[in-house]
Amino acid sequence: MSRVSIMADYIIRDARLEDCGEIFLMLKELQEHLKDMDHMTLEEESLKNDGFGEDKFFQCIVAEQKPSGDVKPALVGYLLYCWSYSTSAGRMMVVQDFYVRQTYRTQGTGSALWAHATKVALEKGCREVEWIVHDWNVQAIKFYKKLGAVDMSKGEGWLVYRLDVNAMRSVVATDTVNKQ
Amino acid sequence: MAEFIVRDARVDDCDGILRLIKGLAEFEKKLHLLRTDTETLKRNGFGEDKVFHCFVAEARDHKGTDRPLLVGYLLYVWCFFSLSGRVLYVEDLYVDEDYRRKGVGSALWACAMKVALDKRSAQMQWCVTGWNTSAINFYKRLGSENLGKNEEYISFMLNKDSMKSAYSRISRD
Repeated sequence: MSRVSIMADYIIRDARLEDCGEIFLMLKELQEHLKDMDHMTLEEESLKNDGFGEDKFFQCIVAEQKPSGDVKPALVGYLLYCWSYSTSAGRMMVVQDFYVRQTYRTQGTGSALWAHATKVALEKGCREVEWIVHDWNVQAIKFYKKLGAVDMSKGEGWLVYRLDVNAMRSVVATDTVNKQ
Repeated sequence: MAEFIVRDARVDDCDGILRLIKGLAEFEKKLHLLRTDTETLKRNGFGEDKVFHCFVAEARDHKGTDRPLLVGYLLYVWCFFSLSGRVLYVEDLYVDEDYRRKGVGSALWACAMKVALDKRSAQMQWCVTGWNTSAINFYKRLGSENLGKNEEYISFMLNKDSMKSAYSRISRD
């Protein structure tokens, strides 16, 4: 399903198997940005199997340039999540990866990805979305605070963030990019 | 012969699992935060749209009722770490007080490690409250790596090698 925005020059949609090549490139860009490339052992095949195979267990949303002429529209961002369960929170969405390519930042692309994900989470009855972020990632932290997320821990190196159900509803309500 | 068996949970185990979940919540002094019931467990663990998986330990030779007596459980979910891929994340591990120090925890853990290894997981991860010294000692004996402390929780990890090593040790016992 696509949600088309009139104002933005991208759309947000569910990822497809054929997107894996581009998602893998963006995934590597994200790991470079997080200075973690040395520890990377993931291969593109895993991405295909784990996200689109019979035994899949993650979901992915992508931001794609709007079509222009005959040029195949490029992917410009992605958000990858898993479902989790805790006996205190019930079903939860855990955002594993979130990335927007440099030239598409500050245009609402990130917010649009989060709004799509948050809507799915609410539809599935989730009361929480959780993720982690490096404590030095000031730009990302600012973005998450703007979403209405709260820092759940002040450990060393990693911060755990959470959107509770009220903040989730607020994100979806204030979304202007995704339209039915 | 051990006093218990370990197996995959079934949908009709949900009442028994809920009793154990409450036992864990009480132990962690978080009973007031519990928001699960049999229906939620059935929907999220056994329905078409399930999100968690569960192993249970069942008492052998339990007499008295038709229902099996569940004495422990391990609940896990799958995570995707983009550095390494599939990760088995253990949400809950709990053994009834009367069945501790009989190898129930190890047996449940071995089930989880086997499925993690069979599915070629890069790691297992979980966390534990910082004051739970008997659990921490159990995890250290498994060969887990302490990933550090966040507030009241310590994160632990077993990678492929330490999983294989721990699994073959436990399976021998």
